[in-house]
Amino acid sequence: EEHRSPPEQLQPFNEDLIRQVFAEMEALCDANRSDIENRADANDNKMLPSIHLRHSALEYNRRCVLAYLKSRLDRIVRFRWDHGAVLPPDVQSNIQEHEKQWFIKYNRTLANYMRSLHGLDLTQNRVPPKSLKIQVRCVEEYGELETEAGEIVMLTLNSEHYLPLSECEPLIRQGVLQHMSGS
Amino acid sequence: LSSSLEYCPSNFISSGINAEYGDDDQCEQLTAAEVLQRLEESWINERVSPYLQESQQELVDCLLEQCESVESNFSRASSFAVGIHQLEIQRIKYMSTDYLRTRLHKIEKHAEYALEEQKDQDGEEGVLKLSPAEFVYAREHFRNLQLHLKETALKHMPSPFNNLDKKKSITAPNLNSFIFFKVKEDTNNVLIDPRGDPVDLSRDEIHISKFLPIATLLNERKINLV
Repeated sequence: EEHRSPPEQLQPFNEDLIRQVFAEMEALCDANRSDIENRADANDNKMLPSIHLRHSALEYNRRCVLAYLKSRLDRIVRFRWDHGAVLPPDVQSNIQEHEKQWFIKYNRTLANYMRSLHGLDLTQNRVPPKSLKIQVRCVEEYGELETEAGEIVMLTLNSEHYLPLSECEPLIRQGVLQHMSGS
Repeated sequence: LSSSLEYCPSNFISSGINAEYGDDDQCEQLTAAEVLQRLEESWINERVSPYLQESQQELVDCLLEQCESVESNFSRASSFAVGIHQLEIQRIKYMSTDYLRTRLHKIEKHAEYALEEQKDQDGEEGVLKLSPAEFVYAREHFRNLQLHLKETALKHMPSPFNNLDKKKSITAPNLNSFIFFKVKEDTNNVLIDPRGDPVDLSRDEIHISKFLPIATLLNERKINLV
Protein backbone atom coordinates (compact mmCIF):
# COMPACT_ATOMS: atom_id res chain seq x y z
CA GLU A 1 0.00 0.00 0.00
CA GLU A 2 2.79 2.31 0.89
CA HIS A 3 4.55 1.94 -2.46
CA ARG A 4 1.57 3.27 -4.35
CA SER A 5 1.65 6.71 -2.76
CA PRO A 6 4.05 9.34 -4.17
CA PRO A 7 7.36 9.66 -2.34
CA GLU A 8 6.78 13.21 -1.13
CA GLN A 9 3.85 12.30 1.06
CA LEU A 10 3.40 10.16 4.09
CA GLN A 11 0.12 8.31 4.46
CA PRO A 12 -1.40 8.06 7.92
CA PHE A 13 -0.13 5.07 9.82
CA ASN A 14 -2.47 2.21 9.10
CA GLU A 15 -2.91 1.04 12.69
CA ASP A 16 -5.95 -1.15 12.00
CA LEU A 17 -4.35 -3.06 9.18
CA ILE A 18 -1.27 -3.75 11.23
CA ARG A 19 -3.35 -4.96 14.13
CA GLN A 20 -5.26 -7.28 11.83
CA VAL A 21 -1.98 -8.70 10.56
CA PHE A 22 -0.81 -9.35 14.11
CA ALA A 23 -4.09 -11.06 14.99
CA GLU A 24 -3.81 -13.24 11.92
CA MET A 25 -0.26 -14.19 12.81
CA GLU A 26 -1.33 -15.09 16.31
CA ALA A 27 -4.11 -17.32 14.97
CA LEU A 28 -1.82 -19.05 12.49
CA CYS A 29 0.78 -19.70 15.13
CA ASP A 30 -1.77 -21.15 17.55
CA ALA A 31 -3.14 -23.42 14.83
CA ASN A 32 0.37 -24.64 14.06
CA ARG A 33 1.11 -25.31 17.70
CA SER A 34 -2.04 -27.26 18.25
CA ASP A 35 -1.36 -29.33 15.15
CA ILE A 36 2.10 -30.19 16.41
CA GLU A 37 0.82 -31.12 19.85
CA ASN A 38 -2.04 -33.22 18.57
CA ARG A 39 0.07 -35.45 16.44
CA ALA A 40 -0.59 -39.12 16.99
CA ASP A 41 3.12 -39.84 17.30
CA ALA A 42 6.46 -38.35 16.30
CA ASN A 43 6.29 -39.84 12.83
CA ASP A 44 2.84 -38.60 11.93
CA ASN A 45 3.50 -36.17 9.10
CA LYS A 46 -0.05 -35.76 7.81
CA MET A 47 -0.32 -32.15 8.95
CA LEU A 48 3.13 -31.19 7.69
CA PRO A 49 2.02 -29.41 4.49
CA SER A 50 -0.48 -27.25 6.34
CA ILE A 51 2.09 -26.45 9.02
CA HIS A 52 4.55 -25.44 6.32
CA LEU A 53 1.93 -23.29 4.66
CA ARG A 54 1.09 -21.49 7.87
CA HIS A 55 4.78 -21.02 8.62
CA SER A 56 5.38 -19.45 5.21
CA ALA A 57 2.37 -17.20 5.70
CA LEU A 58 3.75 -16.11 9.06
CA GLU A 59 7.19 -15.35 7.55
CA TYR A 60 5.55 -13.43 4.72
CA ASN A 61 3.46 -11.34 7.08
CA ARG A 62 6.49 -10.57 9.19
CA ARG A 63 8.52 -9.45 6.18
CA CYS A 64 5.69 -7.27 4.90
CA VAL A 65 5.17 -5.53 8.21
CA LEU A 66 8.89 -4.86 8.68
CA ALA A 67 9.21 -3.60 5.09
CA TYR A 68 6.23 -1.28 5.56
CA LEU A 69 7.70 0.18 8.73
CA LYS A 70 11.15 0.55 7.20
CA SER A 71 9.85 2.31 4.09
CA ARG A 72 7.95 4.79 6.27
CA LEU A 73 11.13 5.49 8.22
CA ASP A 74 13.04 6.04 4.97
CA ARG A 75 10.47 8.58 3.88
CA ILE A 76 10.69 10.43 7.18
CA VAL A 77 14.48 10.53 6.79
CA ARG A 78 14.05 12.05 3.33
CA PHE A 79 11.83 14.77 4.80
CA ARG A 80 14.46 15.50 7.41
CA TRP A 81 17.16 15.99 4.78
CA ASP A 82 14.96 18.15 2.57
CA HIS A 83 13.07 20.28 5.06
CA GLY A 84 15.13 20.34 8.21
CA ALA A 85 14.49 19.23 11.75
CA VAL A 86 10.93 20.56 11.90
CA LEU A 87 8.57 18.53 9.73
CA PRO A 88 5.80 20.22 7.72
CA PRO A 89 2.40 19.98 9.44
CA ASP A 90 0.84 17.61 6.91
CA VAL A 91 3.58 15.09 7.56
CA GLN A 92 3.36 15.60 11.32
CA SER A 93 -0.32 14.70 11.37
CA ASN A 94 0.37 11.39 9.64
CA ILE A 95 3.20 10.27 11.89
CA GLN A 96 2.55 7.70 14.55
CA GLU A 97 3.75 8.18 18.13
CA HIS A 98 6.59 5.63 17.96
CA GLU A 99 7.80 7.15 14.71
CA LYS A 100 7.87 10.55 16.36
CA GLN A 101 10.10 9.15 19.11
CA TRP A 102 12.34 7.54 16.53
CA PHE A 103 12.58 10.80 14.60
CA ILE A 104 13.64 12.71 17.72
CA LYS A 105 16.39 10.17 18.33
CA TYR A 106 17.46 10.29 14.67
CA ASN A 107 17.73 14.09 14.86
CA ARG A 108 19.84 13.81 17.97
CA THR A 109 22.19 11.24 16.41
CA LEU A 110 22.57 13.35 13.26
CA ALA A 111 23.20 16.54 15.25
CA ASN A 112 25.87 14.80 17.35
CA TYR A 113 27.63 13.63 14.21
CA MET A 114 27.51 17.01 12.51
CA ARG A 115 28.85 18.69 15.63
CA SER A 116 32.05 16.67 15.25
CA LEU A 117 32.59 18.14 11.77
CA HIS A 118 33.75 21.71 12.51
CA GLY A 119 30.19 22.90 12.18
CA LEU A 120 29.71 21.64 8.65
CA ASP A 121 25.99 21.24 7.98
CA LEU A 122 25.55 18.18 5.79
CA THR A 123 22.05 19.11 4.69
CA GLN A 124 23.34 22.21 2.90
CA ASN A 125 25.49 22.45 -0.22
CA ARG A 126 23.49 19.94 -2.24
CA VAL A 127 24.40 21.29 -5.65
CA PRO A 128 27.83 22.25 -6.98
CA PRO A 129 28.06 26.03 -6.73
CA LYS A 130 28.39 27.82 -10.07
CA SER A 131 28.61 31.32 -8.71
CA LEU A 132 28.55 33.10 -5.40
CA LYS A 133 25.24 34.89 -5.80
CA ILE A 134 22.15 33.98 -7.78
CA GLN A 135 19.09 35.74 -9.05
CA VAL A 136 15.93 34.42 -7.41
CA ARG A 137 12.24 35.21 -7.46
CA CYS A 138 10.02 34.77 -4.47
CA VAL A 139 7.04 32.52 -5.20
CA GLU A 140 5.58 32.39 -1.71
CA GLU A 141 5.09 35.00 0.95
CA TYR A 142 7.90 34.52 3.40
CA GLY A 143 8.43 37.80 5.17
CA GLU A 144 11.79 39.03 6.40
CA LEU A 145 15.02 37.18 5.84
CA GLU A 146 18.17 38.15 7.67
CA THR A 147 21.30 37.27 5.71
CA GLU A 148 24.66 36.31 7.22
CA ALA A 149 25.98 39.76 6.41
CA GLY A 150 23.26 41.25 8.61
CA GLU A 151 21.10 42.71 5.85
CA ILE A 152 17.36 42.31 6.10
CA VAL A 153 15.64 41.31 2.87
CA MET A 154 11.88 41.47 2.48
CA LEU A 155 10.62 38.39 0.61
CA THR A 156 7.23 39.34 -0.79
CA LEU A 157 5.41 37.55 -3.60
CA ASN A 158 7.08 37.95 -7.01
CA SER A 159 9.89 40.12 -5.70
CA GLU A 160 13.30 39.45 -7.26
CA HIS A 161 16.58 39.41 -5.40
CA TYR A 162 20.26 38.84 -5.96
CA LEU A 163 21.35 36.82 -2.96
CA PRO A 164 24.22 34.53 -1.92
CA LEU A 165 23.76 30.90 -2.85
CA SER A 166 24.11 29.62 0.71
CA GLU A 167 21.13 31.69 1.85
CA CYS A 168 18.94 30.73 -1.08
CA GLU A 169 19.56 27.01 -1.21
CA PRO A 170 17.34 25.87 1.67
CA LEU A 171 14.59 28.27 0.61
CA ILE A 172 14.69 26.98 -2.96
CA ARG A 173 14.33 23.44 -1.64
CA GLN A 174 11.35 24.43 0.47
CA GLY A 175 9.72 26.07 -2.53
CA VAL A 176 9.81 29.65 -1.26
CA LEU A 177 12.28 30.95 -3.84
CA GLN A 178 12.76 30.07 -7.47
CA HIS A 179 16.10 30.27 -9.26
CA MET A 180 15.92 32.50 -12.33
CA SER A 181 18.17 31.25 -15.09
CA GLY A 182 19.58 33.52 -17.78
CA SER A 183 20.37 37.26 -17.53
CA LEU B 1 32.59 20.09 -12.26
CA SER B 2 36.16 18.82 -12.52
CA SER B 3 37.13 21.73 -14.76
CA SER B 4 35.73 24.23 -12.29
CA LEU B 5 37.91 22.76 -9.57
CA GLU B 6 41.03 22.89 -11.69
CA TYR B 7 41.99 26.43 -10.85
CA CYS B 8 41.60 25.84 -7.13
CA PRO B 9 45.03 24.27 -6.51
CA SER B 10 46.83 27.18 -8.17
CA ASN B 11 45.01 29.63 -5.94
CA PHE B 12 45.99 27.79 -2.82
CA ILE B 13 49.57 27.42 -3.97
CA SER B 14 49.82 31.14 -4.65
CA SER B 15 48.72 31.90 -1.12
CA GLY B 16 51.59 29.71 0.01
CA ILE B 17 49.84 27.37 2.40
CA ASN B 18 51.47 24.13 3.40
CA ALA B 19 49.27 21.50 4.94
CA GLU B 20 50.41 18.82 7.33
CA TYR B 21 48.59 15.61 6.72
CA GLY B 22 49.04 13.27 9.67
CA ASP B 23 48.80 9.54 9.13
CA ASP B 24 49.29 7.58 12.35
CA ASP B 25 53.02 7.47 13.04
CA GLN B 26 54.20 9.13 9.87
CA CYS B 27 53.45 12.73 9.13
CA GLU B 28 53.24 13.37 5.43
CA GLN B 29 53.96 16.89 4.33
CA LEU B 30 51.57 17.64 1.53
CA THR B 31 50.70 20.92 -0.06
CA ALA B 32 47.08 21.95 0.22
CA ALA B 33 46.80 21.32 -3.50
CA GLU B 34 47.74 17.68 -3.06
CA VAL B 35 45.31 17.27 -0.16
CA LEU B 36 42.58 18.67 -2.39
CA GLN B 37 43.54 16.31 -5.20
CA ARG B 38 43.43 13.32 -2.87
CA LEU B 39 40.07 14.31 -1.47
CA GLU B 40 38.68 14.72 -4.98
CA GLU B 41 39.84 11.20 -5.88
CA SER B 42 38.43 9.77 -2.66
CA TRP B 43 35.17 11.59 -3.28
CA ILE B 44 34.71 10.13 -6.77
CA ASN B 45 35.71 6.68 -5.50
CA GLU B 46 33.19 6.92 -2.68
CA ARG B 47 30.35 8.01 -4.97
CA VAL B 48 30.89 5.19 -7.43
CA SER B 49 31.77 2.28 -5.18
CA PRO B 50 28.95 0.15 -3.75
CA TYR B 51 30.41 0.15 -0.29
CA LEU B 52 32.32 2.36 2.13
CA GLN B 53 35.96 3.05 1.44
CA GLU B 54 38.62 3.93 3.98
CA SER B 55 37.70 7.04 5.91
CA GLN B 56 39.61 10.11 4.75
CA GLN B 57 38.43 12.23 7.65
CA GLU B 58 41.90 13.76 8.10
CA LEU B 59 41.82 15.17 4.56
CA VAL B 60 38.44 16.78 5.20
CA ASP B 61 39.52 18.23 8.54
CA CYS B 62 42.73 19.55 7.03
CA LEU B 63 40.95 21.26 4.14
CA LEU B 64 38.33 22.82 6.38
CA GLU B 65 41.07 24.25 8.60
CA GLN B 66 42.71 25.73 5.52
CA CYS B 67 39.40 27.28 4.53
CA GLU B 68 39.06 28.87 7.95
CA SER B 69 42.55 30.36 7.81
CA VAL B 70 41.93 31.73 4.31
CA GLU B 71 38.67 33.27 5.48
CA SER B 72 40.43 34.96 8.37
CA ASN B 73 42.77 36.66 5.88
CA PHE B 74 39.93 38.20 3.92
CA SER B 75 40.29 41.66 5.43
CA ARG B 76 43.76 42.01 3.89
CA ALA B 77 42.77 41.03 0.36
CA SER B 78 41.07 43.08 -2.35
CA SER B 79 37.37 42.49 -2.84
CA PHE B 80 37.94 40.77 -6.19
CA ALA B 81 40.32 38.26 -4.66
CA VAL B 82 37.91 37.76 -1.78
CA GLY B 83 35.18 36.83 -4.25
CA ILE B 84 37.34 34.23 -5.98
CA HIS B 85 38.52 32.75 -2.70
CA GLN B 86 34.96 32.60 -1.41
CA LEU B 87 33.84 30.69 -4.47
CA GLU B 88 36.77 28.30 -4.06
CA ILE B 89 35.85 27.74 -0.44
CA GLN B 90 32.23 27.07 -1.44
CA ARG B 91 33.38 24.46 -3.91
CA ILE B 92 35.62 22.78 -1.35
CA LYS B 93 32.77 22.79 1.15
CA TYR B 94 30.47 21.26 -1.46
CA MET B 95 32.96 18.48 -2.15
CA SER B 96 33.49 17.79 1.55
CA THR B 97 29.80 17.76 2.41
CA ASP B 98 28.96 15.55 -0.57
CA TYR B 99 31.75 13.14 0.40
CA LEU B 100 30.54 12.93 4.00
CA ARG B 101 26.90 12.74 2.92
CA THR B 102 27.59 9.82 0.56
CA ARG B 103 29.37 8.00 3.37
CA LEU B 104 26.54 8.71 5.80
CA HIS B 105 23.90 7.37 3.42
CA LYS B 106 25.91 4.20 2.92
CA ILE B 107 26.24 3.84 6.69
CA GLU B 108 22.49 4.26 7.16
CA LYS B 109 21.79 1.67 4.50
CA HIS B 110 24.30 -0.90 5.71
CA ALA B 111 24.71 -0.04 9.40
CA GLU B 112 24.69 -3.57 10.70
CA TYR B 113 27.13 -4.82 8.05
CA ALA B 114 29.57 -1.99 8.76
CA LEU B 115 29.44 -2.55 12.51
CA GLU B 116 30.05 -6.29 12.12
CA GLU B 117 32.99 -5.64 9.82
CA GLN B 118 34.51 -3.17 12.26
CA LYS B 119 34.05 -5.62 15.13
CA ASP B 120 35.84 -8.37 13.17
CA GLN B 121 38.80 -6.11 12.60
CA ASP B 122 39.16 -4.89 16.16
CA GLY B 123 42.62 -5.66 17.49
CA GLU B 124 43.98 -6.55 14.07
CA GLU B 125 46.13 -4.41 11.87
CA GLY B 126 43.21 -3.92 9.54
CA VAL B 127 42.05 -0.70 7.96
CA LEU B 128 39.17 0.92 9.81
CA LYS B 129 36.47 2.06 7.42
CA LEU B 130 34.49 4.11 9.92
CA SER B 131 35.88 7.19 11.61
CA PRO B 132 35.17 7.34 15.39
CA ALA B 133 32.25 9.74 14.92
CA GLU B 134 30.83 7.59 12.12
CA PHE B 135 31.11 4.49 14.30
CA VAL B 136 29.09 6.17 17.03
CA TYR B 137 26.54 7.30 14.44
CA ALA B 138 26.22 3.79 12.96
CA ARG B 139 25.77 2.22 16.37
CA GLU B 140 23.15 4.76 17.52
CA HIS B 141 21.27 4.59 14.24
CA PHE B 142 21.14 0.81 14.28
CA ARG B 143 20.06 0.72 17.91
CA ASN B 144 17.26 3.22 17.26
CA LEU B 145 16.07 1.18 14.30
CA GLN B 146 16.05 -2.06 16.27
CA LEU B 147 14.18 -0.48 19.15
CA HIS B 148 11.59 1.06 16.86
CA LEU B 149 10.92 -2.17 14.97
CA LYS B 150 10.69 -4.06 18.22
CA GLU B 151 8.25 -1.63 19.77
CA THR B 152 5.94 -1.26 16.82
CA ALA B 153 5.93 -4.73 15.36
CA LEU B 154 8.07 -7.48 16.74
CA LYS B 155 6.70 -7.17 20.25
CA HIS B 156 3.24 -8.04 18.95
CA MET B 157 4.29 -11.05 16.96
CA PRO B 158 4.27 -14.55 18.38
CA SER B 159 7.66 -16.12 18.90
CA PRO B 160 9.86 -17.30 17.20
CA PHE B 161 9.12 -14.39 14.88
CA ASN B 162 9.73 -11.63 17.36
CA ASN B 163 13.48 -11.47 17.01
CA LEU B 164 15.44 -9.57 14.45
CA ASP B 165 17.37 -12.49 13.03
CA LYS B 166 20.83 -11.23 12.17
CA LYS B 167 21.42 -13.48 9.22
CA LYS B 168 18.20 -12.44 7.56
CA SER B 169 18.09 -8.78 8.44
CA ILE B 170 21.58 -7.64 7.44
CA THR B 171 21.41 -5.65 4.21
CA ALA B 172 24.80 -6.36 2.78
CA PRO B 173 26.05 -4.14 -0.02
CA ASN B 174 26.28 -5.67 -3.46
CA LEU B 175 30.02 -6.14 -3.74
CA ASN B 176 29.68 -7.79 -7.12
CA SER B 177 28.32 -4.80 -8.96
CA PHE B 178 30.27 -3.72 -12.02
CA ILE B 179 32.26 -0.52 -12.06
CA PHE B 180 34.69 1.23 -14.37
CA PHE B 181 38.14 2.03 -13.17
CA LYS B 182 41.24 3.76 -14.48
CA VAL B 183 44.72 2.48 -13.72
CA LYS B 184 47.10 4.86 -11.98
CA GLU B 185 50.22 2.72 -11.80
CA ASP B 186 51.51 -0.20 -13.80
CA THR B 187 50.57 -3.40 -12.03
CA ASN B 188 51.36 -6.89 -13.17
CA ASN B 189 49.64 -10.19 -12.63
CA VAL B 190 46.34 -8.97 -11.35
CA LEU B 191 43.57 -11.53 -11.09
CA ILE B 192 40.47 -9.65 -12.22
CA ASP B 193 38.38 -12.58 -13.36
CA PRO B 194 38.74 -15.63 -11.09
CA ARG B 195 37.97 -17.92 -13.99
CA GLY B 196 40.54 -16.32 -16.25
CA ASP B 197 44.24 -15.58 -16.15
CA PRO B 198 46.01 -12.78 -14.35
CA VAL B 199 46.36 -9.69 -16.52
CA ASP B 200 48.84 -6.87 -16.67
CA LEU B 201 47.45 -3.40 -16.14
CA SER B 202 49.27 -0.43 -17.57
CA ARG B 203 48.88 3.19 -16.60
CA ASP B 204 45.94 5.21 -17.90
CA GLU B 205 44.00 2.20 -19.17
CA ILE B 206 40.27 2.06 -18.42
CA HIS B 207 38.64 -1.27 -17.54
CA ILE B 208 35.36 -2.60 -16.22
CA SER B 209 35.14 -5.28 -13.59
CA LYS B 210 33.21 -6.52 -10.60
CA PHE B 211 33.98 -4.58 -7.47
CA LEU B 212 35.25 -7.35 -5.24
CA PRO B 213 38.42 -8.42 -7.11
CA ILE B 214 39.70 -4.86 -7.45
CA ALA B 215 38.84 -3.71 -3.94
CA THR B 216 42.39 -4.33 -2.70
CA LEU B 217 43.85 -2.40 -5.64
CA LEU B 218 41.62 0.50 -4.73
CA ASN B 219 42.84 0.42 -1.13
CA GLU B 220 46.44 0.51 -2.33
CA ARG B 221 45.60 3.56 -4.45
CA LYS B 222 46.76 1.85 -7.64
CA ILE B 223 43.47 2.53 -9.40
CA ASN B 224 40.79 5.20 -9.45
CA LEU B 225 37.11 4.63 -10.02
CA VAL B 226 35.42 6.57 -12.80
